[in-house]
Amino acid sequence: MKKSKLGLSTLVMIMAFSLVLSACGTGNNAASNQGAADSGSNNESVVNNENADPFGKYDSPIELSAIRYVSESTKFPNGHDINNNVWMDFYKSLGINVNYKWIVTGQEQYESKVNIAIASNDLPDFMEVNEEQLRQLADAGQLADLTDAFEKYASDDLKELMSIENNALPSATFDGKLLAIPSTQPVIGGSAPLLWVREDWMEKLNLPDPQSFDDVVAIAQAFQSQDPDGNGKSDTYGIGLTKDIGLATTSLGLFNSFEAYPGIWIEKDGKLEYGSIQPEVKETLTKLQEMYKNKLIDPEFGVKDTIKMFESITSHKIGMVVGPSWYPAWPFWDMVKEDESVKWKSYPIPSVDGGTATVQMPFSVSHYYVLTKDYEHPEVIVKLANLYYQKLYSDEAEFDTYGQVIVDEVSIGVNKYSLVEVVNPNKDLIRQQELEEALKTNSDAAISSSETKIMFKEFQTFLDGTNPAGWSGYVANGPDGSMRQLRELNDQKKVISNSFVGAPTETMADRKATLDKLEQETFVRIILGEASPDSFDDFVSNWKKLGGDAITEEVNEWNASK
Amino acid sequence: MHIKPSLSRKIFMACNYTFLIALGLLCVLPMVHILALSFSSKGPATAGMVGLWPVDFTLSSYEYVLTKPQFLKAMWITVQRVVLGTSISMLLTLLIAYPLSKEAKDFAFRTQYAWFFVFTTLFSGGLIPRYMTIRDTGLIDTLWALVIPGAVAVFNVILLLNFFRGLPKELEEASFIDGGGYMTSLWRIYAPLSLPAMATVTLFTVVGQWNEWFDGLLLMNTPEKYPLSSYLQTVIVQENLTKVTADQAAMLAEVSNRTFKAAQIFIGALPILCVYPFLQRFFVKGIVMGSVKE
Repeated sequence: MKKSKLGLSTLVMIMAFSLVLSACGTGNNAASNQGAADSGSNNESVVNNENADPFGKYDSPIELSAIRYVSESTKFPNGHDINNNVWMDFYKSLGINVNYKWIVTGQEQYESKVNIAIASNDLPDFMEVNEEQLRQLADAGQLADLTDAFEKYASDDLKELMSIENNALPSATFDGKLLAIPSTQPVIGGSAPLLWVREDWMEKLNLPDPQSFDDVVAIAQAFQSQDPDGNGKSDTYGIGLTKDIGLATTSLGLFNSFEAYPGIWIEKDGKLEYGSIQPEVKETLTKLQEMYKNKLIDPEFGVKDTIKMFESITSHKIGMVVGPSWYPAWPFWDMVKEDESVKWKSYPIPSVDGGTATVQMPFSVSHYYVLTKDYEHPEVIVKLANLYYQKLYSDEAEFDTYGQVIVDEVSIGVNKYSLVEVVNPNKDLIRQQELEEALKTNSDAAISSSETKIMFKEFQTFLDGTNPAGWSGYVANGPDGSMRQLRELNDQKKVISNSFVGAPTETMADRKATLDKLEQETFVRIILGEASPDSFDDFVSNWKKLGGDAITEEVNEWNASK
Repeated sequence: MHIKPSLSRKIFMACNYTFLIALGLLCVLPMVHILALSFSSKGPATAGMVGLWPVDFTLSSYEYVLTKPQFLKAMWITVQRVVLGTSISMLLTLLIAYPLSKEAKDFAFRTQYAWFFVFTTLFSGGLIPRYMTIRDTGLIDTLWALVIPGAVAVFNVILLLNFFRGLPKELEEASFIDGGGYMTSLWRIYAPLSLPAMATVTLFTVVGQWNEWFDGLLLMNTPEKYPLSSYLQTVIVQENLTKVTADQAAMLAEVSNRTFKAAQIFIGALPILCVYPFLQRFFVKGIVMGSVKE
């Protein structure tokens, strides 16, 4: 018996040792590869000086290996697939041969596969990464320096686009070197909160428009107690909420009403401070606890995710919800389709002191496009971004070829096949403005993009009653729509975003998950009444002790060095 | 002779049955709910009105799923994987379990070999080394990557090994006297006699092969090669709704159809549900019989 034990431990030792050895082996290889790559890219930048056409064709075709994801909602016209479509043909005509090393369905699955690719040093030339992965790759020195390429090759449109969100390029810059092209997205229409109210219930109960947070409480009270659906049962709630307090738009809007901005970094007395630990958050939580006690909030919110909450909305249980501009498309359309008497209307979030509140949205970049260090043509990534913008949004756009095609009356977003996606952060707002103008003049002459022209046609058919499905687009983008309200807020500078952007700091990488969990639990417990609002103060001191202070320091250092 | 059960016994039995029935329902009800969802139409399903009985009965979800090329392709890959994976697995498990069931005097390095196998159950290389190994051996992106790396389940080997030891040695000795070798003994004595244990192990393997989704995502380079469970995972996991743009939202609304999802989950689980009752009768016997050694 004793002998076999000894044998086992020897075996363990041997295995462990061989593991260490093999790890050393790969480490050395990677280092020498990088050395070779260094000299390669130096030579290349000299060659590139000759001609710098942002849309230029490669005379001798170049190979670009890439990885990507296709989302479950992506559709293809008959006979096309991800390797064979308009964008791939277009790339080929420019001498860019894209070979996919692998393709995966779904963004979440993609991110975990990229993590494995990074860990096993099995990287393609081109890929999309998130903030954490960008930082990891940048720290390991595995990314191509795009500073010169961007300077020389970026089209005027692209440069202008990047200047709309002035933090976009800095968030991809490390030690003065631009290492990635940020994927800018129109997050204002995607995430900025609005107050959605069942207008038919309001009319029925004869309630005034919500002008302040007190009005919101009063409406919630009426929805809860006065049986707005007229079924004789007390089965409706004032406000819908999800369990992701402080993360999902549904709760963020309520916080914003109290001038609290959880989850993002805000400027206070010239320094950056974390929004979730400010006294305004405590104020909001105290109020929400009171509302929960009075049954104004969905009593089951603590176990509901967004989809579950949508269910409650669709089954006529909830009369008011804070949500982004696109709720008409999902879940409201599901209700209106079944029952035309249902009306949803949006209002800007009312402030606790009356008037409209300043609302928050995330940073407009959450993904980046990078090239690995040994790739010979760093400018190709800039060209891809140029081309995307040119073909979809510029004066020479061919939106009905490269953006959206209609096959058998089904519209297919072919822009999803492109390798990169750079969108004007204000795209949704511009579109709303143009649509409003077009409706006034009844002509699409002033509309700049063909995408908006398609939408204008949908508006017209909706208004003459032939296209009831145009409802959701009209409620969001029409002259009275949710996007119009966001545009006004934006013009008044009442939409703020995270003041700290880009790759997470060192302590964030270590501690943020723990701190976020602590925050979530505290918030939910306080609203449910399981903890008193004063426990918020304990949370703040714990947050600071568990790494929050260090993070604040790092964030402010970053801010100073910007 | 009939013994009248005492009152306490009766109460105990009543509690016992109630508890077990509740436990059984807990397992069955979610399945019934999914089935009801899959037969309901979209409206009531999105409103959360479907409980255990379909509302607004329709077969449209099944029509949709059964004409969806990717679903059928994934199903076919899973069938291939189960058949191939189970055959390879069973063959290897038998070939390993038999020699290891011998005593050290018959098989010189038996203990060392046994420890070698046990070692792999205690320590593993981890995800990345596993990925690198499969990549470097060229298995990646082929069906073999799904069946070979996990072909030997040591737990199953031990199960079978213990069962072999429980069989009377005299049978084998008799065959040796008649001139049979080890192979004869394995195939003509041990294998036929251990059918219950093998049925159990087969069931474990089939279910394992059917359900394993992560290796499909990890090792296949295109979604067309996903087995059913990997495919279902990509269908069912919800995209993060905090970061969608207004344009994406409309598209997500389209794929969020719960009745389609329910139908796919149900069809995906159906074959296993059918296999279980047939193999189940061996199940308890197979596990318990090996556990007592003379």
